[in-house]
Amino acid sequence: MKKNFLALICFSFFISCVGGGAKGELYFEEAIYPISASAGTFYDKDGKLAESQDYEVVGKFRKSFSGIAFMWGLANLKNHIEVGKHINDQVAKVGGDAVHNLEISISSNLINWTPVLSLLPFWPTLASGLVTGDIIRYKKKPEA
Amino acid sequence: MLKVKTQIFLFLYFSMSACMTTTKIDFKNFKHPIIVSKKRYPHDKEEETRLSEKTFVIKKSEQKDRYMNQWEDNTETAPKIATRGIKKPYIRVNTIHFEAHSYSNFMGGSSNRSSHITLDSKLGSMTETLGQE
Repeated sequence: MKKNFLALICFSFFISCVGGGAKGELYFEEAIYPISASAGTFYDKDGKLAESQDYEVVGKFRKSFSGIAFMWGLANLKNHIEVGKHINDQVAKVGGDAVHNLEISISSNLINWTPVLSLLPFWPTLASGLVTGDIIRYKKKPEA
Repeated sequence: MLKVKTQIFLFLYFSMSACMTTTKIDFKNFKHPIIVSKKRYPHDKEEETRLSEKTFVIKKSEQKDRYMNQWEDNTETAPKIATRGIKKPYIRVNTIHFEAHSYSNFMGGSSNRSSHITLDSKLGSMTETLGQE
C-alpha cells in the first residue's frame, strides 16, 4: 500500500512537470557570403538569375542553435544568435561562393520535460533549432 | 538490466518528449531569391531605393494540445503574393524570430506545445524603385 502510494506521488510529480521553452532571433550579419533561403540564388550584373547549370553544390551547411530562458520560459535571455560566422567557416572550407536552400527548424528541448527540476524557476528551458543549407560554387563567377 | 520502475519512468519521459512539435521552414519551390544575409554583390549598390518601405511577415507556426491543433503557414503564399507583378523581384529578410514551448497541464497529464518561425521581410526589385512609392 505504502509502495503504491509512493508510486502515485512520483507519477503525479512526473505529469505535473511544467515544462518551458524560449524565444529569440537568428541573424546572418557577419556572413561574408550571400545567403538565400530559396532555391533562387542571385542576380548577376545583367540581371540574370543563376540557373542550376550555372553552379554546383559543393557541400551542406549545418548549424544547430538553442535559445535559453528561465522561469518556465517566461524570462528569456537575449537570444541573439549569429549564424553568419559559422557559414563563413563552412563555406570557406569547401571553397564555395554562396549558400542557398536554407532550411530552419525549431522545437522545444527534452530538458524542458525534466521531472521535478523543471518546477524550479532557475531551471533553464530551451528552444533548439537547426539551420541547414546547400553550399554552392558558381561555374562562372558573377561579375562585379 | 534496468528496474521495472526505471523502465516505466524512462518510457513515459521519452513518450512525452516525443510529443513536441517541430516547425520547419524552407522555400525550395520559390524561384526568386529570399536573401537573409547582408552581403550583396558589388554591382548592387543602390538597394535602398529599390527596397519597399513596407514590411511583411512570412510565418509558420503550430500549436497543439490534447484537444486542438492550430497551425498557420503562409510560406507558400506570402512570397508569391508579395512578388506578383514585380520585375526581377527578391525578398530581403531583416530578422528571423523563433519560439518553441512545451508545457504539461498541472496534474492533467495533457501537454501543450508550440513552435513558431517568423521572417520579417521587405520586397525588393533589381529594376524597379519600390522605396519611393
